[in-house]
Amino acid sequence: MRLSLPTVLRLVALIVLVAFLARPDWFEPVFRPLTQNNAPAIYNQGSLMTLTLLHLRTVLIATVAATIVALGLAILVTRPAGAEFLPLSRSLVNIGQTFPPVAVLALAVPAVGFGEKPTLIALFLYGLLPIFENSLTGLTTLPKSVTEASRGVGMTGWQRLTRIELPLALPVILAGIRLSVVISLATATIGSTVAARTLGEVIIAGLLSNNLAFVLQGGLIVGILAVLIYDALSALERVLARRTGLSQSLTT
Amino acid sequence: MIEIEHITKRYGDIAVVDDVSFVVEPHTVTVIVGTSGSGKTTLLRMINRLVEPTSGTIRLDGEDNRSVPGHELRRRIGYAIQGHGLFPHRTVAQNIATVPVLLGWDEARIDARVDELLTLYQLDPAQFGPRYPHELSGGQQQRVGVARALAAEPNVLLMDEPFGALDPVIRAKAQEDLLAIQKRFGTTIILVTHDMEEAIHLGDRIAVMDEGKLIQYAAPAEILAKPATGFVETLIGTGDRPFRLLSLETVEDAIEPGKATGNAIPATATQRDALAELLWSGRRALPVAAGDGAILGRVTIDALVKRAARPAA
Repeated sequence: MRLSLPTVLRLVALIVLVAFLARPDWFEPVFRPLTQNNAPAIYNQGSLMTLTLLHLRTVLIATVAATIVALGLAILVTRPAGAEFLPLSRSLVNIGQTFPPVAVLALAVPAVGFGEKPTLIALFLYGLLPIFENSLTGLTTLPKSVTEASRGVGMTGWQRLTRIELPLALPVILAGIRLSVVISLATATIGSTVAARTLGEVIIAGLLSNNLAFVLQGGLIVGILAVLIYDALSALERVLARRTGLSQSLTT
Repeated sequence: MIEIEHITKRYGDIAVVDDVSFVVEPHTVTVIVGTSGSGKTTLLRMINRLVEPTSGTIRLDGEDNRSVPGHELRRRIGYAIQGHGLFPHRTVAQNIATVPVLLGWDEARIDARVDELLTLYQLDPAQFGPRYPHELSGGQQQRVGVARALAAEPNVLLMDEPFGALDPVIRAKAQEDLLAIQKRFGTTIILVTHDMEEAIHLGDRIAVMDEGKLIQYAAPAEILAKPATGFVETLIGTGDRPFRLLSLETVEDAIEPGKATGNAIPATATQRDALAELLWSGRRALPVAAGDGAILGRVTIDALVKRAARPAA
C-alpha cells in the first residue's frame, strides 16, 4: 500500500500523541514558553496517560449505551408494529440533543452525585440523536428491490433484519456513531466540572491557575484523539460500503 | 396447478384487483399483461402472499396458499423481480444459495446446486461465484436473479417484469434462456409484463388485465384473432397484429413442396422471421432447412401473407 500524505500525517500525529502520553517531560521545552512565573509546563497533578484512558473509557461506555438505545429505537420504529412510535422516539432523542450537556450535569448531580455518572448521562443523551437519525436513514433507504427480494425469498422478519437490513445499513449507522463519538470526546471534558476523571481536568487546572500550557495540553490531546478516531471510523465505513457495493451512493 | 378464485384486493374503496379468477395449468408459462396500475403485479404478489387478498382464495396444487406461514410458502415459490434485487453485500454464490440456506440444505448439496445453476446460465462457477453483484453486467445480474429464484427447485416461478431493465439484445437472449429452462425443469411460470410482444412470445396463455379486472384469458393466437375488447386490441397494436400472428408459428408449419434459391432458413425459425427474410432479400420463396442442413421444401411469400390474415371467427 502506498502511503499518502494524509496517512503519513496521521501516523505522525499518533506517534507524537503516544510519545507525549508516555513521556510528557520530553516535551517540556515545547510548552515552557507558554508558562509564567516558573509554573510547571507539564501537567503534574496526575498521569496524562491515565486521564486519557479514563476519558476514552467514559466516551466508550456512553457511546455503547447510546448506540444500543438509539439503534434499538430505530429498529423498533422501522418495524410495522413499531411505526407509530416514530414521532415519540424522534421527540425523545431530540430532547436529548436540545438539553445542553452542562444543564444535564447540573440536573444529574443532585440525583446521582458527583463523579463519572452524571457525565455518562449527559454524553449518553447527547449522543443519541446522530445515531438514531442515521440508523433510521440507513434502515429506511435500502434499495426497494432488495427489501422486496428479501421478503420474496421467504426470510422471516428477524432474518431480513439481521441478514439484509442491518448489514446494508451498517455504513450509515457507523457514520452516526462516528459523529456521536466525536461530539462525546469533546463534550466529556466538561464532565471534570463535576469531578469526572477526564482530560477536562487538565484544561480546568490550566484555566484555574492561568497556565496556558495545561489548557493547550488537554485541548491538543482531545483534538488529536478526535481527529484520529474520526478518520479511523471513516476508513472503516468506506471499507464496509465498498464491500456492499453501495459506495457510489455513500461517497459523502 | 394454480387456481385463482374470485381474488379481490381493496385499498380503501379502490379495488386494485377486482374479482379475478383463472386457472394456470402445470408446466406452462402464463403471462399477465396490462398497463401500469392494472393490478397485475398485485395479483402476482398475492400468489406468494407478499400481498394478502381482501377476499378470494388461491390454491397451489389443490392446497390453499394460506395453509402455511407466508415465509414458508415463499421459500417454495421462486420469485424474480425487475432490477434483479440481488443482495449487494453477498457474493453471487451466496445470493443463489439464499433459499437453500433458509431451508437448511446441507452444504454439499447447496454448492452442487449453485454450480449447476451458474453453469446452466453460462457463468463459470469458479469465476463468477465469488464476485459481488455490482461486479456483474446487467444481463449477468438478471440471470443470477433468476438462478436465485430457481435455486430450491420450486414448482412455481413468479416473475415481475424480470426483463424490464435489459436492453433489447440481452432481453431476447434472456427470454430464450427462460423458455429453455422452463422446458428443462418443467417449472410453472407466471410472468408479469406490460409488453404484449413479450407476452405473445413467452406465454402459453395470456391473461390481460385492466383496472383490476381480468379482461381476457386465452392462448396468444386467440388473443390476436379475437381480442375481447378494444383495450386488448390497443395492447396488441393493430399495426403489428399480422406479424405477431406469424411470430407464433414456426416455418415448419408453412413448408410446401418445391424449390427455391438462395440461403435456407431453419425450420425452427418463426414465420415472422421468414417473412422478414423474404422481404429483405427480395425473393418470392425461401428454401427451408432441417437442423442437419437437409432441404425440406420451401416457404413462399404468398403462403405467409395468407397465414398473416385474420383467422376466420
